[in-house]
Amino acid sequence: MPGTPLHERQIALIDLLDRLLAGGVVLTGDLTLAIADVDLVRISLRALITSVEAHLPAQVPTAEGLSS
Amino acid sequence: MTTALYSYAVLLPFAGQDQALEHLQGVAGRPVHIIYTTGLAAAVSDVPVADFDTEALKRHLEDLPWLEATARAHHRVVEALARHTTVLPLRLATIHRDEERLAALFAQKYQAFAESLATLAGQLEWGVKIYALPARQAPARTVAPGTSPGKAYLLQRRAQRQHAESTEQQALALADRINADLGTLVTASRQHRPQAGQLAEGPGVNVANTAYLVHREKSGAFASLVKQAAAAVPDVRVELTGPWAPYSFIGTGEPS
Repeated sequence: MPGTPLHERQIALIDLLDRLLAGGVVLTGDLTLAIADVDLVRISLRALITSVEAHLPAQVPTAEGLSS
Repeated sequence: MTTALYSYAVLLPFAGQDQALEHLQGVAGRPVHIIYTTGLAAAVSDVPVADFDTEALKRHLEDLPWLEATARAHHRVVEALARHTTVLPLRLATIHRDEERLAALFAQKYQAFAESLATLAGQLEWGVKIYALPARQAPARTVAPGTSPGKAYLLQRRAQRQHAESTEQQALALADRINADLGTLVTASRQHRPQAGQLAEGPGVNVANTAYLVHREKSGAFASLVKQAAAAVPDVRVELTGPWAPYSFIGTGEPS
């Protein structure tokens, strides 16, 4: 694909989401509300994170036989 | 097509930026261009309103393949720019109606943006994730003769659990030690939540997920120190990611 940097490696999505959903500049203000109300966008991102976590096992099994 | 403006990052304009963006695919497969505001620039794409208005976003953000494609495209643009200049990445899905709206907002935030860009010049973000590894072998436990099979099983389970707990303690202790050893090599640090669940890649339990802001020139020493500290502890795995654009250090970095 043209434009894909040669050294681009597949980054783990979870590392990316740590940064893109919890980091970065949040541009808020009355002027940004025209299309996507920023607060609403944030609420749906929160919902996403929660929903991703909700249908996952509460804890990753640490070893076979340890998960009950 | 009615379009809105998707913004990726604030940046200091640089020579050759048009070439850097020329063949780049942004979110929704859209080309990326630069708009200028007072002394600063923003990388943006025109995206279809139908896919990025509040309702559509709510729906899309819960669709993992869409989220992944969008997150990767956002990151691709930020990375392409970060190779040439200091960037302030914007949070995923930053949408405005048009350039006038964005420019007005930038004018309002100019001072803060300019200060952040100055602070972050020459700095790289690195991720350090520390995992407690599962026991390679269940610790042996002598069971007194005459112990019932049920009790022997419970004793065995308890020994396994204690072993796992102690491995997690060791992993946490390593996280503290690395933090202390890094000292003045790092500009700032920030804890992310330990990773768990379907998207978390093993092996092991992630006990610490830290982002460090490190000057480009100190990054080699930083990576060596982390690797050295990691090699000294058995049953613990350390993963180093980066360099990243300073996503985790937008006004939240604590001096360390």
